[in-house]
Amino acid sequence: MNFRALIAGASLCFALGNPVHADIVQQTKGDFVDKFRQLDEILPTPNDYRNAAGEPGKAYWQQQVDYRIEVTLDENRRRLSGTETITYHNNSPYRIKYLWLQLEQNRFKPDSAAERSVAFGGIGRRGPSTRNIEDDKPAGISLGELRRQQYYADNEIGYDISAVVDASGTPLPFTVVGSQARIDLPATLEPGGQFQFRLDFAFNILEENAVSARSGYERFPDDARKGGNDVFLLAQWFPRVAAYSDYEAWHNKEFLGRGEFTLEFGNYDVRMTVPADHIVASTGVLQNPQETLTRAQRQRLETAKTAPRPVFIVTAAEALENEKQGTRRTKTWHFKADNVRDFAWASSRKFIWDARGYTQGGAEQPLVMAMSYYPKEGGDLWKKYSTESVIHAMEVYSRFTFDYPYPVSISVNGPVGGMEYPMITFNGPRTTWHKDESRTYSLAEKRFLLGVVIHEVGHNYFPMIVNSDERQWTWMDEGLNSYLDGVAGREWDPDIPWGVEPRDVIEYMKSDVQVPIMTQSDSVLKLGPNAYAKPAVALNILREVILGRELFDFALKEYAQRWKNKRPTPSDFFRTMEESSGIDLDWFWYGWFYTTDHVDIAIDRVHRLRLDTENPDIDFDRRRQEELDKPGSLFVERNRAEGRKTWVELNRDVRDFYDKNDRFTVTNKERNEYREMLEKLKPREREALQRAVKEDKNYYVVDFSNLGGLVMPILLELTYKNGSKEDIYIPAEIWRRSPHKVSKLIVTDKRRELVSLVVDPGWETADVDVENNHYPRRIIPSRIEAFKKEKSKQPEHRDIMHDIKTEAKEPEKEVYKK
Amino acid sequence: MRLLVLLAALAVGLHTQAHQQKEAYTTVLFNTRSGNLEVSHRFYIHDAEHALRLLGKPADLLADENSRARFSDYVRDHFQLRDGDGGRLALHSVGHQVEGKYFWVYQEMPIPAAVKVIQVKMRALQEVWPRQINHINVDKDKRIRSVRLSAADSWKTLAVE
Repeated sequence: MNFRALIAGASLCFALGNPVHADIVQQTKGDFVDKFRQLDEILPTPNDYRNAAGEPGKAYWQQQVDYRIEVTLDENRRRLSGTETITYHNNSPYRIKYLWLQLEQNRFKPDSAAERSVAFGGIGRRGPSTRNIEDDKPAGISLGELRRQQYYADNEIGYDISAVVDASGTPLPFTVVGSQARIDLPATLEPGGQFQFRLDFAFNILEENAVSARSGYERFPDDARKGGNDVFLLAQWFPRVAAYSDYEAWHNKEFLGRGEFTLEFGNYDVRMTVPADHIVASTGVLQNPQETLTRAQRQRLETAKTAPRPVFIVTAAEALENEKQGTRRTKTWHFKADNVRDFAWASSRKFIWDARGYTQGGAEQPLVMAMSYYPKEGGDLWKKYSTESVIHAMEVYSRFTFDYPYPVSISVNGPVGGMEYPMITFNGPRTTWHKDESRTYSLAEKRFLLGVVIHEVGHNYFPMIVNSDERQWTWMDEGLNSYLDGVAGREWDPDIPWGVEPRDVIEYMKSDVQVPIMTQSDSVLKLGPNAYAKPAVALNILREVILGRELFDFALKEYAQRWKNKRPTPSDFFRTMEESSGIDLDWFWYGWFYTTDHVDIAIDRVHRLRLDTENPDIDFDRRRQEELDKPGSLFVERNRAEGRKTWVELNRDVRDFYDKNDRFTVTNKERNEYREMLEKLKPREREALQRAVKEDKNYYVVDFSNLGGLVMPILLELTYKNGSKEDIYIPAEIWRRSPHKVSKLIVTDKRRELVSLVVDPGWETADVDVENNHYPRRIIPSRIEAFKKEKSKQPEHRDIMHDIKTEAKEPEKEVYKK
Repeated sequence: MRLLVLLAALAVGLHTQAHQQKEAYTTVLFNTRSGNLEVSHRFYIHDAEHALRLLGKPADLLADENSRARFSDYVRDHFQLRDGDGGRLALHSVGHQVEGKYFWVYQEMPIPAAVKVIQVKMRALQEVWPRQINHINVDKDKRIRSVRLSAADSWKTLAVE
């Protein structure tokens, strides 16, 4: 972290600080909290690179890194070796003396910072588990962890870098620092200059199921081929130049395994030499189909461009035949990709391959080839839904952002559950094998496939094209993408429970163990709710409750288009959304992204009021009626019940003025005062009073409390005596001068008498306590109470007449096959 | 020397899901209306189904009651409550339920007398994948006390006065 970033971090801590410290939002004196304070002190100062509107500034720049790579896959040794020629374009206004490289394969070395910092029995990395000693149990280690350890013992992990030389072949000083390396340049690279160097590298490909590395190989030992087959997924596979930006300079924060990646955009020219019977799926466009594909495959690809449903380029039968034996021959596949921030690929002789052209129109990329590659283990689930969901994702995401700019969009089934790279995604869901050799999948597995493909394809937009820094801010891609995959999912089939509804984050948000969304990725305590669900819910609420769809969609599209193929920061997002929607959202960003407050708005009380007419002949009579409406004295009632006569009743001959006139009797004194008051009113005041008296409206004062701390609009539903309902939207700004308690006057027509009020009846704001949303209060059954009530109805639904015929049988012996 | 034992056999590969959440929520509610200590566990069906398969069991939580019962048993086996003196609080099963993308498991017992602290341990899925975090909210009189239990955690104590 450079000095500038440190200053920003310090001011953030200050803003969020412990209440005992002086704070710009909450002072040490009094209980006022400035929930609407503008974010100027928190956000970085706008400059020529990033302006106050959240746009790339007039001097915005970013580096470019081009790669030419030749690489060979040694299937038997599961080793990749290659050479890369890197051209670094210094577009910055600064002179550069050294380059930083990312060596992600080194993160898995046994002596890496990431591996060394894994706690036994603790959290810290993907992969198998261990358990520490407990009071009642010895320490435990899983077979998975044993497998990982044995894999580590048997394999050399990490890069072998055999040469780093400049264009003339002169070795360059090269210093490895964990999973990074510094290359010292022979001469300072001036602004606008270029530097080219070559690097030879090799590494043993990790077994994904042993190590959990987001890429690697997967064994299929049951295949007919002797020794089985593999699916290879290659990502983070070549040494890559780290990003260098205006706000962080070198992004050389070590890869610890969670905070993912950000790189520079550049052009890639990659040749992969693999066994001749392998099919390669890759970022980019295949340059040599004549050499790599059969005539039939090329024809099928042509047919697929306009086909209504996916066309098999390699059929299941062909793939099954292909996986039965191997070859010693090799083949080189050549791909090129322009203006992408990374490059990944997959290779296997097991792949079934289908494709369908997606005609999106537009000038940039009218036709996109959507394609899927999967082993037979993917089965019908993949045949039916992978490529179709790739296309659906592009259709929906493009509508909210920009046209999909790449020529291909690929989904590959392998050992990685879900991971994204430009133009290519790895997705895990599969069918299940049965002993009768059939393959089926559960409804849940189908939903996983649809969900994960849409989500990972969606990552092409965020962060592959809108190039936010995943290592710093996971929420910037996962949060936006989770919001959009919810949009796309609901457009696929709204009956499937997609995305994140506000109610889904209540359990998380009401708890007292959280960090704000604005927390560096490796330090987030709970990545799921913090980086995916909470920001996605926040955006959902911003769209559906606060801005409305039109303003929100316009603003999000503006953000996406401003930062397409550029590198935004959180402040660019916050500023763009506010500046393009025209709505002050500082309070929203502050509450949802910089604090751990939650939403809990309660209705405390409702006072019903009636406007006095000031006319004593009316008002005094009303007071008399009010008095009569009150319950009488129990003492007096009981005396009467006992038949006890009062003195007044027993002495009816003694009477005076006060027996005929009560305390509400009007005299001319009051009438004269009333007339005098009317006379003194200005004509428009008199008119207003007369009209109000005539209309005789109902006045209600509703008291609200903000118990959760997070200020939000109050969505109020009023129910009237006649059964009709009315919704009232009270903007969040009602809390700006009184953040804890506010009152609101509601005026209704004389005949519209309120009987009840509810805050947020549709559960749209993630309000954690529904019970205090109702006035009058009502009993909200607990989840278990509600379940018991529902369950009591359930036995009737059983078909006992049928089930009674079920024969008792011994469970069958378990046979496992992948 | 203390023993090092094998955790439940994970014979098959671990699928790392970028969008798999690997988290569960448990609410321990002091329901003064019913007089019961009510425990509701919420899991993603996604996580639960994959975990069952990794534990070597066939799993179809949406279609198959056996799968649901199996996972429900598994969750109850991996969750424990104790009072301040270490006495086990014996919860009994209320049932389980699929709701949207979640699988819920329910337990309850009468609210124990004079309980000032509650000790909680929740191990579900942590033997399957170490990143699993089990989040516990103890809700008494609308005051929430929370604890996040990772694979490294054993018993945690929460004040409920």
